[in-house]
Amino acid sequence: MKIAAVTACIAGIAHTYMAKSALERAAKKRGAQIHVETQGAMGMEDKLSQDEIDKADVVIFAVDTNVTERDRFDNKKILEVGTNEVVKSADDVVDHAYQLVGQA
Amino acid sequence: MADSKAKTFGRDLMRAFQSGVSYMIPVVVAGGILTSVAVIGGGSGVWEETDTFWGVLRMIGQTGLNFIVPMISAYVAYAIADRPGLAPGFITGLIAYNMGTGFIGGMITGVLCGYVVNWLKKLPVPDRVRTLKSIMIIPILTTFVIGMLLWYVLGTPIHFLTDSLTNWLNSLSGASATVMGSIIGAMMAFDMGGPINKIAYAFGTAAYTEGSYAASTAMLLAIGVPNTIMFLATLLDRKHVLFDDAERDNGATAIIMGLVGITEGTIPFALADPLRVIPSIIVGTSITCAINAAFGVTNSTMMSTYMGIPFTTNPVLYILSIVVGSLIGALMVVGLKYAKYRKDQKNATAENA
Repeated sequence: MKIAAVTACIAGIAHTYMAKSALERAAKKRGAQIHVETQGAMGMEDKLSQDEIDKADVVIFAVDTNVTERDRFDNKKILEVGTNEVVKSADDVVDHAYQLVGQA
Repeated sequence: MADSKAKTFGRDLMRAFQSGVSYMIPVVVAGGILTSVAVIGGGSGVWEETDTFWGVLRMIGQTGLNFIVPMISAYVAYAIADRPGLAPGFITGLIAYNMGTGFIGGMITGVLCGYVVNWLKKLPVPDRVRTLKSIMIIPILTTFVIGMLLWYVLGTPIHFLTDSLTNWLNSLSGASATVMGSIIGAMMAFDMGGPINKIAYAFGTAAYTEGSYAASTAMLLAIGVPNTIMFLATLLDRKHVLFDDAERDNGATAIIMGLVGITEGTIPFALADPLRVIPSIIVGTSITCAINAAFGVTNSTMMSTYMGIPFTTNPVLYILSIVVGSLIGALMVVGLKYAKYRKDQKNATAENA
C-alpha cells in the first residue's frame, strides 16, 4: 500500500506539521508506505513528485484550506479530512483510506 | 458516506473562507505590526506624512492593510476555482474595499468569482476557442459580471450591513461588551490556532480595520493567555507530580511563544491531556477578555497580549485582567490534574494492599 498525503492548516505553523507526523506514525503502524507533503506558512515542503502521486494507491488530504496545485491529483482516489481529525485519530483516517481502495 | 449536497456546499464554503484567512494572515501581520510601530514611534501625525521615517513606515504598513480585503477575495476565489479565480478575485476585491464594504464584501466577491469561474469552466466550447476560453473569456467575463453586480446591486446593501455591524460593535458597552469579550476569548482558546480560533481572529481583524477596537482588543488579548495559563500551571506544580520534565520545559517554550503572540505553544499540553487543559484555558482566557472588556480597556494597535500592553488605554487594568484570568485558568488546570493524581494514587495503593 502506497499513500500520498498533503497536510495544510490555516496558520500553517502547527497543525500542518502535527498532522504530518501523526499520519506517518499511523501509516508505519499499518505497514504502509507514506509520503506527506506539507503546505504550511512556508509554502510547499517535502513536495510530492508526480511519480509518487501516480504510484500511490490512495491520496489523503488532511487540510483545513485548499490544496495548492490540486490538479496534480486529478483522477486519484482522495480521502479528504480536516487536520484535527488526523491529529486526534490518525489510525482511523488511515483505516478509512484502506477501505476507500477496498483493502480493509 | 454520501454527504448531502447542502452539507458539502457548506463545507466547501467554510474551507474557502479558511483559505482566504490563511493567505491573509501574513498581510495582517506585516501591515498591522509596521503600522502599529509607526504610530508608536511617530505619534498620530504619521497618518498625514511621508517625509519622516515614521511616516514612510506608516505608509508601508498601511499599504499592506489596504490589501486585506482584496487578498481575502482573491484567495477565497482561488480556493473555489483554483488559478483562474485569482485575477477576478483581486480586482473585484479591490473594488469592494474602495466601496467601503470591508471584509464581508471581500468574502462575497471571492465566493461569487469562484463560482462564476467554475461555471464558466464547464461551459462547452468548440476546441478551436478552448485556449481563448481560459486566457480571455473566463477572466474578462467574470470580472465584468461580478464588478458590475457589485457596483450596481450588491455594494449598497453590503455597505449597509458592514456599517450596521460596525455601529453595533461600537455601541457595545458594559454587560454586552463583557459578553462579547468572553465569547471571543473562549473561541480563541478553544483550539489554539485552529479553525474556531481563526473565526474569532478574522472577526477581530475585521473589527480592527473598521476601527472597532473593543472586539479587536479582546481577540488580540486572548492570544497569549492560554500560554500564560499553562506556564503558570507548571510553576504551581511545586512537587513536580502533575507535569513531567518535558512538559516543564514546554511551559518555558509556551510562555516565550505567548510573549510574541503564538497560541500554538499551548498545543502540546492540550494534546497530552485535552479534557483538563482545554476547559481550563477556555475559562481562563474567557475571563481575562471579559474583565478587560468590562473595564473598557482597548488597544488601538494590532499588537497581541503582551506586546500590546504599552498601547492600551489603561495598562494597569489590562495587566490585571491578564493576571486574574491566567491565575484562575492555571488553578483550574492544576486542580483538575491534582484530582486525577490523587485518584490514581488511591487506586495504586488499593492495588498494592
